[in-house]
Amino acid sequence: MDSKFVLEESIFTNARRIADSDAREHYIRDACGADTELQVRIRLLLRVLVEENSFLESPVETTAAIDLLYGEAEEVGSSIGPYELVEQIGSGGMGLVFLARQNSPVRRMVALKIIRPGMDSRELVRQFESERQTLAQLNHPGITRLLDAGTTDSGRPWFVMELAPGLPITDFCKQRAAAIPERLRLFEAVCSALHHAHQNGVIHRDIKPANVVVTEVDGQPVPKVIDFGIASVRGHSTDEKSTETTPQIRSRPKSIMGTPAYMSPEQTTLPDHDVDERCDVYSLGMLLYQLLTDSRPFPEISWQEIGFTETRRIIQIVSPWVPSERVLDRVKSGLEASADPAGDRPTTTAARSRTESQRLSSQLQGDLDWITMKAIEKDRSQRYQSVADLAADIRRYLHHEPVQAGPPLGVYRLKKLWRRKKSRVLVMTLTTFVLILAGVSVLTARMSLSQRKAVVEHTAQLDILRAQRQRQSSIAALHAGFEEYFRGRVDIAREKLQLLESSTGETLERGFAGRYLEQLCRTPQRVLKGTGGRVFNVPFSPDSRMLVTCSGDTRCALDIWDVANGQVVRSISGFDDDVNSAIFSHDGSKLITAEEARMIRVWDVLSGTELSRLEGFEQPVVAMYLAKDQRTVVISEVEWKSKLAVTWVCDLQDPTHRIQIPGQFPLGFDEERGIFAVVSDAGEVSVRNYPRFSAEGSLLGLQPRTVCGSLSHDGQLLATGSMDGNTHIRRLSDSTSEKLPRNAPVPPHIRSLAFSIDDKFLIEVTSTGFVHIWETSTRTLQKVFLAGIGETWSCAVSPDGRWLAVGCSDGITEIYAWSAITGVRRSVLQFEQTISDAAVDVRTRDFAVLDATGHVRIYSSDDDQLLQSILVPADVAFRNLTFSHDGEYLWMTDESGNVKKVRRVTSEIVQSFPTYGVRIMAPVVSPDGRFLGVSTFNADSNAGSVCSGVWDTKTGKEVFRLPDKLTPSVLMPHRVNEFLNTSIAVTTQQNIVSRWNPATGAEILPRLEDPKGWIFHTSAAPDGKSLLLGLRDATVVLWDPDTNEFTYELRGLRSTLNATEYSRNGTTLVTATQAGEVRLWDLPTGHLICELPGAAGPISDIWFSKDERRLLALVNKPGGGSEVYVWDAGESE
Amino acid sequence: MTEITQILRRIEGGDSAASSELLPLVYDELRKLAAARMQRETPGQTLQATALVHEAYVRLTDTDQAQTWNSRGHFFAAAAEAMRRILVERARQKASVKGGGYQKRVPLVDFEQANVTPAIDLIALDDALQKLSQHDQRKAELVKLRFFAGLTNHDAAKVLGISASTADNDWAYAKCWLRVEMTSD
Repeated sequence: MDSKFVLEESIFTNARRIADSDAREHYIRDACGADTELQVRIRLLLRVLVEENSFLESPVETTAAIDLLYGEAEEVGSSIGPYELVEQIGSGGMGLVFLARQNSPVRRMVALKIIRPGMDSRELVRQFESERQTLAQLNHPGITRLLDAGTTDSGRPWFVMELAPGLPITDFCKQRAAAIPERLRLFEAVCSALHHAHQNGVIHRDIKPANVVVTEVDGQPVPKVIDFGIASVRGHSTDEKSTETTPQIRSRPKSIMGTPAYMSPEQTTLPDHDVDERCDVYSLGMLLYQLLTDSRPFPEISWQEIGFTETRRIIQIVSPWVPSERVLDRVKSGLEASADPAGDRPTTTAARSRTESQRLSSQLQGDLDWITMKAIEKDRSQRYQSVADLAADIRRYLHHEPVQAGPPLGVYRLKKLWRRKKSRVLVMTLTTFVLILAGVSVLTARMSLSQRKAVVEHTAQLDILRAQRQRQSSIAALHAGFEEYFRGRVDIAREKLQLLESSTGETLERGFAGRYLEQLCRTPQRVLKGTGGRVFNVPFSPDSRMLVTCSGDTRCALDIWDVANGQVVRSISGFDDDVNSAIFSHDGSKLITAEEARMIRVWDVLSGTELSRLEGFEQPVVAMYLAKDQRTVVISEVEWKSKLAVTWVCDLQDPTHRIQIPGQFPLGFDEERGIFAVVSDAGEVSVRNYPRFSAEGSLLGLQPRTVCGSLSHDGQLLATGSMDGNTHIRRLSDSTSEKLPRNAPVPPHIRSLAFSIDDKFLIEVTSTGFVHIWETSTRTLQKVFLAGIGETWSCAVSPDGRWLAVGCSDGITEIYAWSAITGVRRSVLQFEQTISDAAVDVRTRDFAVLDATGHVRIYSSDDDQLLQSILVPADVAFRNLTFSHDGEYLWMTDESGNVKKVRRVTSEIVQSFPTYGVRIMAPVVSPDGRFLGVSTFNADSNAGSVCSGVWDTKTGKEVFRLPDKLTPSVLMPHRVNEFLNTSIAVTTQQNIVSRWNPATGAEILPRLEDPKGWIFHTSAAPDGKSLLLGLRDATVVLWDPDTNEFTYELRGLRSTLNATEYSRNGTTLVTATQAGEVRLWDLPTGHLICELPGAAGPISDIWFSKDERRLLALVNKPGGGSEVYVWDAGESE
Repeated sequence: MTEITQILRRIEGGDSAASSELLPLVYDELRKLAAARMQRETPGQTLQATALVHEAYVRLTDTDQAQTWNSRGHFFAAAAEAMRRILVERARQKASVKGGGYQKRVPLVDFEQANVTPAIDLIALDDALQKLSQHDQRKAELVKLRFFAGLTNHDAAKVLGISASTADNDWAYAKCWLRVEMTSD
């Protein structure tokens, strides 16, 4: 080590520790003395330290090194075919891209892509070739053209593309500081190129800024889509199940192929052939996002570090901030940089960028936010369904036409105003806090006051946004949980729940929706672990106390279980082959088995001994019914391969007496009604008469490969399931049938069907382990769960209706409490007479129903128990019912405009006064009970309503009457009147909302006129200030009269809003509609949480029980009569 | 006990000849690993030297036996040297065969990874490193450990048997010195 070196190092080391530049310079001059050369070197070294601080800091990355390790790479200067490689211009994981010169037949520069040395495995070569083929199909100015292709001597494929020199589109726009419309026009051109690709059946699958470059042609920027490296060609195969025949180019399994920030959620979950052009819509949306905001969609995420699982999770559930929020976020970074004491950047730059960002933010708010967020919806069915649709909306925006996209995901518009108000409060407290800290914090002290304020303000704003985002992703996860659940992916739904638990740590926050999903995902009550293989049949004993499992494969046996404790009571083993089915004698003392070994046997249950047998069948014996005489059995023998069946009616006591019904397989048997349902080998489903077995022309339909069936207990319906994975519900009376609709892929086979004891539900067991519970009347899927760990084979409902047993593989049988399955949504009260109105006591959550005769019944919302019954003498029919706010009185109004006030405890009428002499509609009572607002309906009048007014409840006198222009024309029982609070009454006339002082009759301005359509529903929000309005086009808006602005807009309802309910903490809104749909919304974010299985008719009222574990609704049945439904989240665990 | 652990033992026991046996073993393993890893890696991902070296360590050593710092130190020193040789030798070879030299290359097609450090001219770095080692062997070793084997300052200091603050000083000076040296031609 020479001394000069040592001196240089020590001066350098000392100097770099001196922060003050003057002092540092002074030290250098001092230390170096006359050696000016050394001075220069020290300064040079120090400059390197500051300016090139990152030099060598990251360990060498070996991507570049790998090419070196392999050698043999095509080199600049060498030639491939007629192309001379000029410069390497890119290298991806799979290929290298060179700038190449073509000399003949034309002289031009081209891009040559060749597979990377060492990457030429068969699979990658196939992928590489697929890109080549893909490009060959396309001819569009926005897509680089394929010019030539070939293979090197060493067998590595290459191809030549038109050269697309230029910058990635995002860099291009940034560099030119292009205005938003210019960016959008470029983006539209990209859409057009992708549209061309899609029309040719090519999906790009890796759209990102680097793959969209802008070149200038005659001074005009032209974007070009490059790198169809992982594109796939969509098959034109019609058979979805056949994967062999589709011309799919498959990529490697289980690795994330695209670039995470731009990759659609379905690309991380679905097999390639299920990914369609909508994945490009998503990626384009992310590109648009970046074009609008100049920042990547998830700048805070370091994709390289988080690993595969986390990457997938983020892609699936986390949405980026809406663009207008994102650009505000940028300001913060700028401010922090300027507030850094070491930085010398003037704050004016930051201030300017802040105003610019705010201007940009307001430009993006609304249409552009919506378009972007619609394109990047996680659920592809919610996205633009094609690139053309996306492009059309961009064009609409550019032409100042209304865009198709609405607020994101059935969502809201969180108005700036609301946000500003909230953040100002927070800013003030935080500013105070920081000022206190300022005394001790050097950093803060060195900032100017305005800098400090600005930082605080934006930090606070961001904290709010961040909390909002956190909530958004929680709600999105919950929403996804429901979606997955109703697609039958219970395990994923359960995962989402667990994820929520770990992220929020509290179940309260999830509210009713979270608990409901939890209830849906519950596990079985009891798991019986038999020792055999497949469980083919699971009959209950007549007293429902025993369950028999018929198993085969490894251990062909019959096990009898005690349902109460899940223990084996008795086993009958030693069967030569599978036990296909079994049936109890009606007294439960005997068991009859149908066996693969071509016989049926009778067993004594107590002793387990064989009593008798019937032999002589040619094929394995299956399905079986026992007639009341305890000796006639209906069985079928089936030749498994051909599925040809012969049904026999046998006499257990007389082996010689057998009736043969050839070519038919039994599906259902009802001895009392004389119904015997069968399916023929050709698939004709029909009903035969019992005991004559004559076919009486009752063909119910044709369903080939039908293998199982179930007859409803009332003898009305026959459910039939086939090997094709479809189930039909057929009505015997008129031979109509309906195929159960499938959201999820059609299951391979239906294995077993059973109606619940009340026939309200159909249990469907599929071969893949899924059990579906369908509501019979609506044909809607109520519940899905996964039974066992593999296949499922059989199911049965116990005769007492308490249990559902599902037979699985590996000897496993699961028993579920039926209440846990249907408890989730059921009709708890039925009224033959249509209920005119229901009312809820806001304190106890007791609810009252009123029928036209004046009969009021009050029930508990906790357990549907009748608490009180009041009969109010009616001269004419009663129409409406309302609880007073303290719950002590009931207000009732009738057809003739009479008002009655009934004291609940004594059932006595304490007040009664007439109003306008015609039918009262939409009555409302003010919170303090002083005023009553009514509208009237006169069937004789064309206008519908005659008049509306406010009445003093004490005196029974009219306070004032609304002017004609503002009188609601109530033709349907819509909710048009409301009290925001005691001093503000609200009425709605078609498309005008007006507010009044009920005591004086003075109107409170402003009026809301034409809020985008006629108003069908008006209700006060929990804050007592804003109004929730249900519009005719089924959108729902929240109107803040103080600012005359809409703070929310909820979209996606299929019919008009009839009723609403809020959770106690005000964060969940429940909407119920004329079509019976029920949706839960998260108000802070405006996101849809879930759609619950709905009702079969219009819902006129909906409310939570006091503990918010139950949601109840009054439903009017289409054919008359009413029901109360309950969605039950069950007891807490 | 694996071969490498035995060698590490012998080095600890004072057998200086054993060091020369260590390098080729590590060298071969790293080459194989790099090749295998590259085929397995997702396209677009880069391979950190750190990952390779640590994987090589786990594969080559009987980790129960070789946990002591001295053994690890020897191993990492060997790995750093092996990594440097693999990379630099190939770079030189290519440069000499094709004459045109090692072109400045666009590091990755994925422009998204904007924070990726620009590719470094490995040959120039190695030349500078050679010069540095003539002046100060320890600093050159430190650079190899941190840059080629991907060790942290803390771990590299342990391998070299110096304090972390000394290593920090050494590092600041060494990298500036190298940078100046590389640009001085």
